[in-house]
Amino acid sequence: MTESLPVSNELLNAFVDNELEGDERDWILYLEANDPQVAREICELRKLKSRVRAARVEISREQVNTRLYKNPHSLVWYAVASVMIVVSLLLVAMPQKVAMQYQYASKSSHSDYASLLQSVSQQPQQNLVLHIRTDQPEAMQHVARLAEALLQTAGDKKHQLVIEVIASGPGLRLLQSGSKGFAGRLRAIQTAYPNVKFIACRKTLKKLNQKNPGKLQIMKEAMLVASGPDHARLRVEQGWTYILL
Amino acid sequence: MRWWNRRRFEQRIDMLIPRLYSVSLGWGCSKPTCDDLVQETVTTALSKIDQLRNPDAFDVWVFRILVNAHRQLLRRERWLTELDNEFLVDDNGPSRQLETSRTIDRVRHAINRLSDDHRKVLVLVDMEELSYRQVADILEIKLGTVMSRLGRARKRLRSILDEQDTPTSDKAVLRRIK
Repeated sequence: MTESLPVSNELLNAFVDNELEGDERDWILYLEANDPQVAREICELRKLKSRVRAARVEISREQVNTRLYKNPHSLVWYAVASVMIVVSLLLVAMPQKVAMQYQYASKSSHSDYASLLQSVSQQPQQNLVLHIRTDQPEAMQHVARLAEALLQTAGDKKHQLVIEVIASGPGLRLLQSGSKGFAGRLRAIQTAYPNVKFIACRKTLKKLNQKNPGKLQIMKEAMLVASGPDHARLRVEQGWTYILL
Repeated sequence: MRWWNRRRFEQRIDMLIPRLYSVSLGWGCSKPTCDDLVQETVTTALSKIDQLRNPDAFDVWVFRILVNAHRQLLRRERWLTELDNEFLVDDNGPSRQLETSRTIDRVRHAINRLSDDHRKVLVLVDMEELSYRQVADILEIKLGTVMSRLGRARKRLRSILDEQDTPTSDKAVLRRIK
């Protein structure tokens, strides 16, 4: 043991562990060479160190079940779920988003109107939904003007353009028959361009007729669907371009 | 943290896993306990990777997390060390295997009789061959404390192994039977 040795136990251990430098190391080296007791102690410590080292169990990565992430499958599911939620939100929000963009365009920006015309003129085949939900005369006039302009541009370019004008809510008044409304103009458009359809929302019509029976008559050229917004959503899902006014 | 840096750290942690496991075994943990400790260490390291100040000291940082996880485990469960013989088996042939496992068994039993503080220092220095400075950083103690603990640990280990190496038959007392 080290009680009677000329050097401390800690220093001898540090020497064996190669932790000493300079004078301290030289001093132990000298003692190792000249003091049999120190040499024996160093030898014992080295033997002990190698025995402990030998007791180390070598482990390969395959033997350990540890994973970087506790449940990698859940991460995949989180990712898939996130993507699905985003896609769903986009599908639901898309009509409104496009609508908001176009509402702005229809009010003030002629360049967006022009870009829509340009888009129609560049694409040889396009399907378009114009959805009107307001009974403001400017908006109704705008729908008629826009549909006509687009159809004319497509006709000039000999492109295939199909337009469905969907009227729901207060916008149903667009398709009101009689001399006061837009029926005459719409009828003329449809006569000139058979690739345009006017679609009325049966749900809205039913509500209006419940309040004032027989007051609102829809032009006979218009087609009735169960729900205007649902029909619009169906068309969006089918890849149609959607514009809300 | 940028994703490529994170990916690099993930790879480094993955490479460290066998060492973490080996150290846990060296500290006398059973296989299920090692699984829990290493998993907890890896999960904690990945969740706190942004707190790593010095990337060069990455290994030390991860080992420190292991030490803390082990300390919490001891505190929580008043845990008794137990050996797992499954890992004592070697594939070097029957006789060598037997001899090796006997040696390992003896030394590991002796290490398990040390105090937790002494065992930790001894395993990190002798089994993992870490420097005193690294061990001091991992255990968050002074360099001098590492030296004194290591000195006492080896002294105690020697005496335990000496006891074990002494054949019990030598100690038997002959009695005259009338």
